[in-house]
Amino acid sequence: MRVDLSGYKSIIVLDSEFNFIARDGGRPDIGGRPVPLCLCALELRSGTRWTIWREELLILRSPPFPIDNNTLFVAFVASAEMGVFRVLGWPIPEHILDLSPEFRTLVSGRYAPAGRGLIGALAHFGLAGSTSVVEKDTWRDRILEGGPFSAEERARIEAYCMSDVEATSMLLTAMWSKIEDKFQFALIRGTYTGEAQSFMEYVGVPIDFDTFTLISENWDHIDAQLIARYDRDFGIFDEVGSFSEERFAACLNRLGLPWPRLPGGRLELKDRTFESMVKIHPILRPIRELRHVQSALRLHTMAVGLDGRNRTPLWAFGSKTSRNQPSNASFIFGASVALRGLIQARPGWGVAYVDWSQQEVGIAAALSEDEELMRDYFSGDVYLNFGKRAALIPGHATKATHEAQRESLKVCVLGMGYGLGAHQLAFRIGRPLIYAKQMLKAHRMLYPVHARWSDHNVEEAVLGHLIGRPLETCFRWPVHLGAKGFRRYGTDDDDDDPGYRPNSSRNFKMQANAEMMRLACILTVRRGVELCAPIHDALLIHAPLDRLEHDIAVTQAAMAEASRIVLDGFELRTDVKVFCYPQRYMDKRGKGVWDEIMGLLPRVKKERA
Amino acid sequence: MAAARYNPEVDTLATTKISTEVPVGKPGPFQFFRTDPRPGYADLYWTLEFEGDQYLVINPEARARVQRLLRLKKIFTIVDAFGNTTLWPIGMPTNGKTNRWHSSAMKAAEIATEQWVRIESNREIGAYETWGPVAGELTPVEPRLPTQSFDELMNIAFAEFIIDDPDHPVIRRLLFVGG
Repeated sequence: MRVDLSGYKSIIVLDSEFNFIARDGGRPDIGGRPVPLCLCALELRSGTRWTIWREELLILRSPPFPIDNNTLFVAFVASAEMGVFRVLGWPIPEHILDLSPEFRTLVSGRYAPAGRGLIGALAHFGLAGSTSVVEKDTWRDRILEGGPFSAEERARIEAYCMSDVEATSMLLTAMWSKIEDKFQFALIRGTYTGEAQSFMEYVGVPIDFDTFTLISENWDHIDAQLIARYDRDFGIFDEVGSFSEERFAACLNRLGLPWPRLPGGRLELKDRTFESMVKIHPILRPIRELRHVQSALRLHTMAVGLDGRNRTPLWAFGSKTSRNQPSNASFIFGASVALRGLIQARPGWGVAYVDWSQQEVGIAAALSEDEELMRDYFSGDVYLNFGKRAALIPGHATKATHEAQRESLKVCVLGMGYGLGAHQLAFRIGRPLIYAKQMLKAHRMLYPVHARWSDHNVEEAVLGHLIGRPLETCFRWPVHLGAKGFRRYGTDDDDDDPGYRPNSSRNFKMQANAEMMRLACILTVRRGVELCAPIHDALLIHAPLDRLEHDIAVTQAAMAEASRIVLDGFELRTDVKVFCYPQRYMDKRGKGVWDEIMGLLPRVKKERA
Repeated sequence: MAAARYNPEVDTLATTKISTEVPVGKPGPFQFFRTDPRPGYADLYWTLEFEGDQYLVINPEARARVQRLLRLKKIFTIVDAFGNTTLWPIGMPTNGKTNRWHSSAMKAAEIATEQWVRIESNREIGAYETWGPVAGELTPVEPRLPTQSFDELMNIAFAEFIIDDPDHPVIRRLLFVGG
């Protein structure tokens, strides 16, 4: 559908500069809300320009430019500009075009020689902004240092900000022909970054700030105690508290346990390997937990503001598959699951974690239109239903009575989505190869329509590559297969890639999940819920106790509506976990380590006293 | 200066792919391919399978020593959708007996001279199934055929796997010859 921009009376291109320092000479509040410094705008039809410095910005109750439904706002990473609007208390525009995700659609799966930022986008189109990379870095650093700014510095920062507005305008002109036939989807993406993402980055995840401070300030001490406790029976960590591969090899020999090795003979030490191996050798679980906690417990990088909120850029559309890609180092849900115990509602409030249940299977059932799979999804637990139909578990089995078998069935069902092979399945579930083969065969026989659809996705990817057509989700997020194809997200890129991996594209359409998540976020925010963060297939909300139930219902309704929109009427179920103050958010996978840490805190407090 | 500016739309200095690695084997289940239709890009060879590797036995005396283990195969040149070249050996009938795996593979290789196909094994019928796109947009898309000659491709693919000596280590091991 081609769009004529003449329908808009005004087209306003925006850029803003901000830091995290509330007062000149103060310290930055990393994890706090942005503090606006300067905002520049250019109205493309009239050529009118606005340059507004901090003092003037703070007293303006609404923007000096039009913000009605006849105005299109254009930015590069609109969440930043709209974050400034939110801090200033300005209304969020209805129509936002964010050129950052639009540029990413052009290079998704491709090499972008100059990167995917504004400079990279300009270079892609053979354009050059008036600000060099070096100059840009210099001024960004100066802005983040904070004031006071001299008159000359102020003038340079304003010029720098306006130069980005001009660059964004040039980019819009260059990119328009690539955007116009998918403008409606571009607007949804812009609404997500400008309205929903900026809201979540503004609100943040509520954190128990006192406990966060106590743990982060005493981490070395706590780490030593955890090693003493968990490594007692193994002796794998050395004197300085680091994991020793040599000691681990000796420990495996001592216990007589086999372990996967790299081609060169060294032990495979990826967390994913540990995750699989502890299922086979549960005795090693404490070591995996400890390694995981050590690698993921980087509290000093966690962005928690002085108001006790974890705020970090969500980097929407950061992955090839268009998902958010917040930094694991600064996002609470990127850290060790044990640390999620730090999430706590404010007094009188509660947090709710609302997630789509068995979402991937539901999406596959809807998109493949496999009636058997749809029936099994709707009639309860799809993993158990598959097991019963394949006669792998008895008809009376439940999640409680057959938890381990259900886990194996889940690995198989989810694995079917991305072409998991029998060897890998056998390895993951710790069962013989013949059993894994039987499971996979049973799935293909019970759900033949899904099997054919899944194969077709791969065919479509390869054949599409031949005629230069990228793979696309239902909302036209593409991925271009490169010379070596497209690797499944979550796998490591390495030079030994043997070539195209068909399974990489087998589950690309499952990225409808990301489209669904974005719509759900937009609807939830618009309906007045305090949406804190998106987490894979879940939303975290925060509400006063007397409104919590209502807000959960609103969120669930929004998620159901989003699934209906994306899946053409097919509605996915949602589950809810509620944690009311003083209860902490807790993930059962991290509870052991969290309890251990909390058990150590009284002693830490005493020693500090 | 304008000429030096990076332009992804046109900025591709002319290059041609020179294959330095040519795998030997059948196409994967989702590897759409075309068979190189040019004369001379397929031929018959005596092959020997040993410890999972495929050898070309070009020495007549060596062939005589392991005659019963030899298989006559036609080696086709195939190219996938990403421009990767593979040599695909397909067994010829032995003693007048036809193997359905081989005959179905041979048919697929022949069809692939005209259109893009992929093969998938079907153990229930003991043969490969050939899948091709519904004719349409793909019809005019031509494969990126290798620039090297068939002999050059064979030399690259079988560099380490040519038995040109009756005392080749593989022959000696098969015949349990010590020393």
